[in-house]
Amino acid sequence: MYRPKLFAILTITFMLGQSIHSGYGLGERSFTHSASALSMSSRGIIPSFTENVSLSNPVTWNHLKFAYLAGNISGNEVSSNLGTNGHTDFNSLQFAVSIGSNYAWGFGVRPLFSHKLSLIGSSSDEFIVNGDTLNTQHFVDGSGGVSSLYTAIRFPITANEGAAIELDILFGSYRKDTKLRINDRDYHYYQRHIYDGSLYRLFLTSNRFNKGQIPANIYLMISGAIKSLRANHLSFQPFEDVNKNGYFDTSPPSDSPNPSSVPNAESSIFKNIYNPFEFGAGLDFKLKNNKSHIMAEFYHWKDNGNKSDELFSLKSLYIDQSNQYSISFAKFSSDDAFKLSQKIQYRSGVYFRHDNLYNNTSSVNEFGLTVGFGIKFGRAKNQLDFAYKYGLRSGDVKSDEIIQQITFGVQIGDLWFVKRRPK
Amino acid sequence: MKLLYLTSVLVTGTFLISINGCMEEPLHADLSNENLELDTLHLYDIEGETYQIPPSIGSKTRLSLGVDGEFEYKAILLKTSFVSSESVQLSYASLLDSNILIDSAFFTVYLTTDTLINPISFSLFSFPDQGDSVFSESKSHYLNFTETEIALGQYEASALEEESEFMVDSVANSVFRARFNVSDMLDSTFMDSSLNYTVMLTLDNDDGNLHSVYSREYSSLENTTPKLDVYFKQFTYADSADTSQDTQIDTLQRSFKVISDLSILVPPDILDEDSSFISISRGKGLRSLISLNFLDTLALPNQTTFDKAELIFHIVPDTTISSFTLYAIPLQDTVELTNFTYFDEDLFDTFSYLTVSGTVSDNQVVFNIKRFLQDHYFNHIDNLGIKLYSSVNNSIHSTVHLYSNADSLLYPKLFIQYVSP
Repeated sequence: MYRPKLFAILTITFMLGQSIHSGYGLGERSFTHSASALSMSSRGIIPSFTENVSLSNPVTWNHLKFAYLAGNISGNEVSSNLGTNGHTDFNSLQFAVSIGSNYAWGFGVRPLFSHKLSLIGSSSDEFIVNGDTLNTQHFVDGSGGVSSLYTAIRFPITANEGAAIELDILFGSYRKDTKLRINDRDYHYYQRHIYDGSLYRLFLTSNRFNKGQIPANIYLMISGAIKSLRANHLSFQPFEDVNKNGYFDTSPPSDSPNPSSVPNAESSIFKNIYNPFEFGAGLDFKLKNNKSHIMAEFYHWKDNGNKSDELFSLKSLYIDQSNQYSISFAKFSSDDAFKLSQKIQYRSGVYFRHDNLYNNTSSVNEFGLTVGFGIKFGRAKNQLDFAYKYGLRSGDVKSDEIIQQITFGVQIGDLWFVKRRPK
Repeated sequence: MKLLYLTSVLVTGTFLISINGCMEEPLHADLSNENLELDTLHLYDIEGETYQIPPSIGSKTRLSLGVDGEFEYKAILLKTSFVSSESVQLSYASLLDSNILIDSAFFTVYLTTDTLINPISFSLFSFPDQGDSVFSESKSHYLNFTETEIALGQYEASALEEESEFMVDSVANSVFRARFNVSDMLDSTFMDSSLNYTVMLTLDNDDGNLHSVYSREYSSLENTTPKLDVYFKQFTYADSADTSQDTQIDTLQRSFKVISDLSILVPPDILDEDSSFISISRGKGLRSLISLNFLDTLALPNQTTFDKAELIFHIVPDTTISSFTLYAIPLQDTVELTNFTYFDEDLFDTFSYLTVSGTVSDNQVVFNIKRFLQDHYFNHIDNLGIKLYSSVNNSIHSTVHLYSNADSLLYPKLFIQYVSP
């Protein structure tokens, strides 16, 4: 009965946006996949959905009271001296269910890299050939990325410690159109990358210190590659778009060379193009007020993959290492909240992020704040989440950027694995 | 319930994945490392050799007799259609019907002259004994249609050049023609058993001048096509089994227009420069083969797309050449030609779809052979050379001499401009 609402809300589209970094290398890594995590400046390690539960941390899923289908989308806007751009992103779609008090299982899909670009060459070359003056300029357009289809199980280790193992199957594709304009003639060169690979993620938690004056829970995460990402690179024959319609076709006047005469795309495999190491740690301090929490999170990510020139002609501004430190505050609603005001969960956070560009050529700092809230509704504790982020990225080799992001999340609950009384 | 739940997951997931953002404004970036580059090449090792074939004078708007400088036009061959232009139901054979009585028949050609000072006399011949093939527009020439073949013609009639008037929109127009009375020619042999329907035109007296008539290619609108007009009576009986009863008589005229025609031209002897340069001439039948052997070992980047491929020749300056168009067409077969050679016919097959033209301008001629190079690069065709020959619209008196590889500074070259990843 709740599913139609999910469809309706998820069809909303937002303003569109582009950071210069999303055009380089594999694109821009997507770290946060839910509105609840974003509103606490978290990359998903610490609880943010409800008390003790993070949608992105399967080791916390045993605290879910219901099975949840969760969907999140976001709208980004990036402003800089280069211009203002934006894009909408699908953040995640996930199903998770607790099995008893110590076990949980879930699966979902989420983007790993968003690779979108529309670039114009900053300079136009002019040279003379056989007495003719030729002006040339490059244009690059592309879109695609890498996504993850994942599943995770949570299980206990000791009375106080729990663990979760997540398997990520990576997939995706990327289409790129490099255009060379020679005076008024356009040559297109289409390329396509088809990705595949797999990752593991190991989560640990301990409530051994969840006692005393300031009870605390500890969360850890480590991740790496099972089979590092590889790309099947398809290179298509360049052609002159004689009829100026943007396609390689025979509509008069036919493009050159004739589409029927060109060979098949050349295919080559590039291995180990993404080989990450990730580590995350979080602390969740429960305040005296029973439902208020102060949390801290550290998250490190580094890509050790090979980025060949043939596959990645643009990589100088690729972020291949990122560290984030965040402090956040949350006031969760109680399970038995009755009034609307009691059903709202308040969240906020500040973060500092330090990114290294490809091969440590330079670094970028970003800091910002996030706020958000969630509203429970319905008997199954469904939840609507909203988050807003405002960040400043400075020290960039191209231009400082102002980043704004809005994320919506919808979580629909249902009872699973509960014996119902016969009527 | 659970099944519906899982279905929602899958459907919603598919839907969400289909939601993609898109960009608004392109950003400026350093794209100098982008892997689509423009480059050029100049290649010079181009060989050429000339050969001669009998000149092909078909597909022209005029047919000629007489002398034109060093060229001599010995005869005009014309073949009419076997059905009338007014009705395809009426053929030569149907004129043999017993209900038809031919009154008269005239074969008419229209002259290109605009004065009538010294009327010229022409003779018309037929070939009743030559089967169904007397000549070919594309293959007949002065070497296979010699005085011997000309002598096989059976004289039918003579005619003097005359002026004739015809009305167009109530306005009288004047035209010059030669009209042959061929009533006697339309016997059962010509109309039935002989299928060639070919006649030959010659000059009765060679006055040292050139005399031309309009060919079938000249214009389909101005009615200048050579034709054979037949005037006849057609009897129609109320009862076809009883011809003694009342009869309806229709007097009719039908035309059988010419469907192929050709002048037999005897060219002059070739000159030394015709064989020492890469030479092209329509009148002399000079053609040339160009070798671009370096293409087979040319190392071009992977997935090269040609932007320009200009085969450039410099011509030996000649003030008499005002407009001259040449064709270049890749060969289908391997040809070994090491010096000037004469052939009875052009046997070198070509890829007609790759034909390109070039017009002499500023003492050079440029052929755009981009498609040939691209197809060769894709290994669709072999590099067996390129044939150069003259357009049929060029003057028969013009011969273009192109500098060969042996001529310093003005040797031919191939300029390639290409893009590649």
